Amino acid sequence: MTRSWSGKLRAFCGYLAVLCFTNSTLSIPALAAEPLKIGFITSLTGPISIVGAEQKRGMEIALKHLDGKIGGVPFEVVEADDQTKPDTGVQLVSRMLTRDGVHIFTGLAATNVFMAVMKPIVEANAFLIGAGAGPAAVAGPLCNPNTFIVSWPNDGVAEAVGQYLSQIGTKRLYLIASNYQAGLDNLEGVKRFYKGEIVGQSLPALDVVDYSSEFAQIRAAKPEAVFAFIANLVPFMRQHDQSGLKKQSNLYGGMWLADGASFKAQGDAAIGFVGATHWYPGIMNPQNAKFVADFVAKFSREPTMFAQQQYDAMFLIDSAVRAVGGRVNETEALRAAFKKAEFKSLRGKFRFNHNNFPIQDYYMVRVEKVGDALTHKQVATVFQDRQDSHHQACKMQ
Amino acid sequence: MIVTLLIEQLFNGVQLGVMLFLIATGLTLVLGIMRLLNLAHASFFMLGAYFLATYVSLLDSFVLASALSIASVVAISLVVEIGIFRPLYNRDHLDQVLATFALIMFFDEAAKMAWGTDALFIAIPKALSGQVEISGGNEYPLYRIAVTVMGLVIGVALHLIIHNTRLGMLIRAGANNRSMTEALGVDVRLLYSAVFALGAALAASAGVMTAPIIGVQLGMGEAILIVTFVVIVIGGVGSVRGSLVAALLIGVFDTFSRFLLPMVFGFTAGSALSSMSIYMLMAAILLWRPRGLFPAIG
Repeated sequence: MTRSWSGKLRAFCGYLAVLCFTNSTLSIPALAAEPLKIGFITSLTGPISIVGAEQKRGMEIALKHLDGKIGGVPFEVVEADDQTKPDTGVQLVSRMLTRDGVHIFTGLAATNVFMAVMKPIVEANAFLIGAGAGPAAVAGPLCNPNTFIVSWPNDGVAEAVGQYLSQIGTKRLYLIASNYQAGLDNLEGVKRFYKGEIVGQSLPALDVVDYSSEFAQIRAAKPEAVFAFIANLVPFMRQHDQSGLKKQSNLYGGMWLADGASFKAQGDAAIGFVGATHWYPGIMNPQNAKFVADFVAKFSREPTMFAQQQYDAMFLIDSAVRAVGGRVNETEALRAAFKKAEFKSLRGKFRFNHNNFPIQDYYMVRVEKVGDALTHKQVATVFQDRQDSHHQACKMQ
Repeated sequence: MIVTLLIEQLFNGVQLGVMLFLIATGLTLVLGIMRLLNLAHASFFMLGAYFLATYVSLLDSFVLASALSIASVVAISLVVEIGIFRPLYNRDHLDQVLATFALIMFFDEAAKMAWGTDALFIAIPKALSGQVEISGGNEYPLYRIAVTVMGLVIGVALHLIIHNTRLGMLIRAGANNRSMTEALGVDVRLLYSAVFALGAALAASAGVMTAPIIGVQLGMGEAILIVTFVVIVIGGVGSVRGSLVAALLIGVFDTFSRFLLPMVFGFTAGSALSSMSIYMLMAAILLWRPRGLFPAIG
């Protein structure tokens, strides 16, 4: 009897302690005695871990440049790997909301995780600053005042390729995409703007490592241009080079198909590829020069658009936290500050549309060899101040 | 135009088939003769590719690097056979599956520690880069042709070994009737080691030849293991001839279904169907011949 009582007492004390502890962490961000916590959730393992790892590198450079303070207040980043799994993402969000007192989330490379975590974040009246995925639904009917996308709509670069091919008068186009949602969305994006004939398409499975069968079909279809969205990009690019198809047609896609992260593995196979992007390392502005120089110094190669997006997201957060003087619990004021986007984007100009997606320019860049190194050279500006294709479905003003 | 496409696809199919044959032969011999289900067989394929990446970076000669890679894998396979598999021969298949599955994880983890998680890429040897003209002015990568020819040469050599040498005779005897072979005084332990090393060498050679095309990464063996099982089930367990016929069949069938099915059934449904086509082929063949095309007796 005595033992059981003492046991109950201990349990009760433990419960009190937890209660006490939870309460204190919840109230502390307002007191600013503890650093402001930013939740950084992205995919560091799983099929798109390359994107997550690159966001993390962009985050590292941002942390270095922020030097311990975001918007003038001390802060720390709570980092976690969602493993590209929606349920893991949701668990991480609820843990960070309750235990860590996180009020601003960023990262989110994967669309499936983004769609799952958006609801719990906005329902807690916290903010989601997306630096990777830009789901069409979130640009359209599911747009939300607490959700901001710093990167792009998922089909943005594909639309730019379609528009560019129409501009240069391409008559015969072949489409090839990995057979999953993002691949199909990108093909739709190209078709929305491409006016010529589509002479064939292939949908290889996501885990295909040898594309010889697809290349034979491309050769037989005799296109002028090929649009590719292939997740397993290095084998694809190298085999494309080996196949001799470069002599027949030009290869187009998102810039990520051949960029700083994969130049070394692709070698000369990447030369001649033309990619669409909203940013590239050679864009001229002081903040970008500093970002690229420090990234190259640290990682010995050029940064990619995924690193750039995460860097931009951190400086957007910096601008908004500064505008509210570190009082991130003042939701209305913080929301207005995010919307203003008064930060120096690596892209140069940057502003938010009514659906909280960026209004931005899109460029075509060609991979060229300068000296011993591969680099991107701009060949065209495709869109200026482009709004995404889904914004009219968003009722938010 | 359709003829030149079919010819190019036939080249692709045969190339895939030859690679599957090299991997499947070792697996089917080990299963047929030693009654051992070696899931870790595909690790030899992966290790061959990883060793090549290392040796190529150290040596100038691709041929020498390939030979060294295969030799290294054979050495590892002998350690595995003598140290781990010998006590398992008399245990049931469940124990073997557990042990060989553990080996997969061990080799993956070891490769991760030795070579890291990033995929490695090996340049195609200078002499074999570029394309050659096949039918109708179409070009085809020279390296893929070289790999196919090399694979076929190995296949012919294997055939000669199995049908014209004493070792081949013992292998055939072991596959047909193991206990009778033992009763006739053959040193089965030695035979087992030889067969196991031969199988590992074939898998490693497939890894070496494919690496410059698809790159080297963790888990590349597991991805091909499932298809390899389809090959040995269709070919008949223990039969080298069966694995050759089945591998070429699967290689060509898979390649053709990847472009013909989307034409017939439409873009989306056809692409989905093509990724399961070889399993449907396997089911159909098993309905017709439940023990595969060329079952070894015993």
